[in-house]
Amino acid sequence: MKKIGFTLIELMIVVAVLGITCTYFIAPINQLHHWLKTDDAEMVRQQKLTEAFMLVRTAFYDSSFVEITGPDELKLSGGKWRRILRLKSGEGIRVETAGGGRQVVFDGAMRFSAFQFLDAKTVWCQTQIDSARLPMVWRCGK
Amino acid sequence: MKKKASRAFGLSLIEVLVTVCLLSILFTGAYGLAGTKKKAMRRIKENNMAMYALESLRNRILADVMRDFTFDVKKAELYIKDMYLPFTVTAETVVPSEFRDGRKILRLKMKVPTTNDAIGRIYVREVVLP
Repeated sequence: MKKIGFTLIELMIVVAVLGITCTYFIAPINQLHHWLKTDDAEMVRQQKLTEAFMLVRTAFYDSSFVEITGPDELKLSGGKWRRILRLKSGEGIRVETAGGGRQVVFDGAMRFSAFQFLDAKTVWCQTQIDSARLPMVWRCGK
Repeated sequence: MKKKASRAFGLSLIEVLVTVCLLSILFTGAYGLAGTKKKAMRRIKENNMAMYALESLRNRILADVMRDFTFDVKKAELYIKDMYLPFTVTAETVVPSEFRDGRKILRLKMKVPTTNDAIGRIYVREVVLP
């Protein structure tokens, strides 16, 4: 008659192998789970930072003069007309053009203070990106 | 009457071990992919940081230079100190051989150090000084 089930030795080997496997993989599984949960949101935030940079830089590159027209507002002139608005106390930005506008909200990835005047072509604002803090200077022209 | 041979109940040791091995291989692959994604994300973060920091420095220096047409590396170093960045930024002036009219290039470098799981990189931004 054919034997049914495991012998004690076989069971012990399986349990030992599973035990060793679990010991090695529990920490990485937790880490993997954490990464998968957090990375997508972080990726979206970083994309927003890149988008905001390109929007603002293009606006400044395409103009010759900058004027602070309000506590949260800049007007760019001399080239293509642009208006830059600071949203949600610096947690977002809106760039308006003659044909419409685009806005980016950073979701905590970046925050910047009100714009300060440096000269007719240059403004600056204190900017916090993650742990970094820098006086972000924007200048008209290429 | 011939009795039908009964089939063994459950899995054999070899089958269980093969399953565990396959699961381990699959998991190792998934872990590697997630690690690659993590590295890519770190790189995007550093790229963003470099973009903002070097653009800001360039603009600040250009604003200075255009105001009084002078430039000093020490001043650039002061501006760098003014930033709280997790990476080292340096400034140096270079005179390329093709510039025969006394102009210089200011080279701004942000150095991202090598870590356990990522190779270091240097981001460079150059400004032509009048």
